[in-house]
Amino acid sequence: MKSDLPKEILKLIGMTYCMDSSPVTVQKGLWQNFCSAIEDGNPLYWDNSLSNKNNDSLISHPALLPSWAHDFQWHPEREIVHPMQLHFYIKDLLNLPLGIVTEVEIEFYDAVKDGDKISSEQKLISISDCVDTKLGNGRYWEIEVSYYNQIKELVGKQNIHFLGYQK
Amino acid sequence: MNTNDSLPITTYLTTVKNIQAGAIFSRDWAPLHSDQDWAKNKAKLPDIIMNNYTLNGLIIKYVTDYYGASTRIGKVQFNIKKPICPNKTLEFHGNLISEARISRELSIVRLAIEVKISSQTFASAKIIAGINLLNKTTNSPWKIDRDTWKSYLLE
Repeated sequence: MKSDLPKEILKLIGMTYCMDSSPVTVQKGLWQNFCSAIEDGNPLYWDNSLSNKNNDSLISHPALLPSWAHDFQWHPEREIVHPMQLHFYIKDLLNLPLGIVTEVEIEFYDAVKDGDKISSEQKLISISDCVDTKLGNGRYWEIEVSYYNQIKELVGKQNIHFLGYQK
Repeated sequence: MNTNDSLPITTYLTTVKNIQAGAIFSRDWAPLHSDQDWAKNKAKLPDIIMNNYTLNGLIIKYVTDYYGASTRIGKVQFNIKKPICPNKTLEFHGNLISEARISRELSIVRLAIEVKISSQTFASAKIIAGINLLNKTTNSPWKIDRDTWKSYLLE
């Protein structure tokens, strides 16, 4: 029942929960490592002369858009910001220790380029009634993450559907 | 290509190294994608599993390899039905759902993709992409302004 939801959860729906500033500058060496791992030789990611005709410069692989907002694994001067903080906050509030991603929808509005800095904000879109699934009892929820470049243009948006559950 | 026509099937062999590399180079530090001991003994998985970003990258590569380098990916909607582990041959299957001509050189295509291992579907995706029919850079889909581009992504 939605009426069973804690007030803290109901207050979150439709509100921006957190904004994360860019931890790392977009760099071609980083995206080319990824392209190498998946054997993607698209010249837009590798060849300046071809990419310039489409985009004025090389572009990052689109699949990496959320990655540019991920923090380092370790940092010498500060605590690490974990990705999808809102998801973990919801799990804690609902006392649902386990969670999986059930569906991802990502839209790309603009190319991300060398030197860009990507920040993100997370918002809870919806949360379901209690459900019984093969994995256990829990709830589904949807979080929207918006990605902005350094001049605050929305470059993409990701909607992630989760199942939080307990055995 | 006509509606419901199939794209050619392509394959990709997963290895421990390329699953780890895909995760690390997409800045995904979760151990289930890179630490075999953790994946097997803590998460009780058969092995490390491919992360979302790597799978999304491979799906996008499948589309851009077929339609050409200047293809502009607008939207990817995907779900993973079963975990993808090392030493598996992924088969990428695609179907053209619809094509809307927006100019003499450009179309917006909607595609359905399935990622299979030994005939079983491990992931599926729907894609919206802008393609250049003449494969020229003079009228690349990347030159469509943001607002117009966003209007093409509406279902």
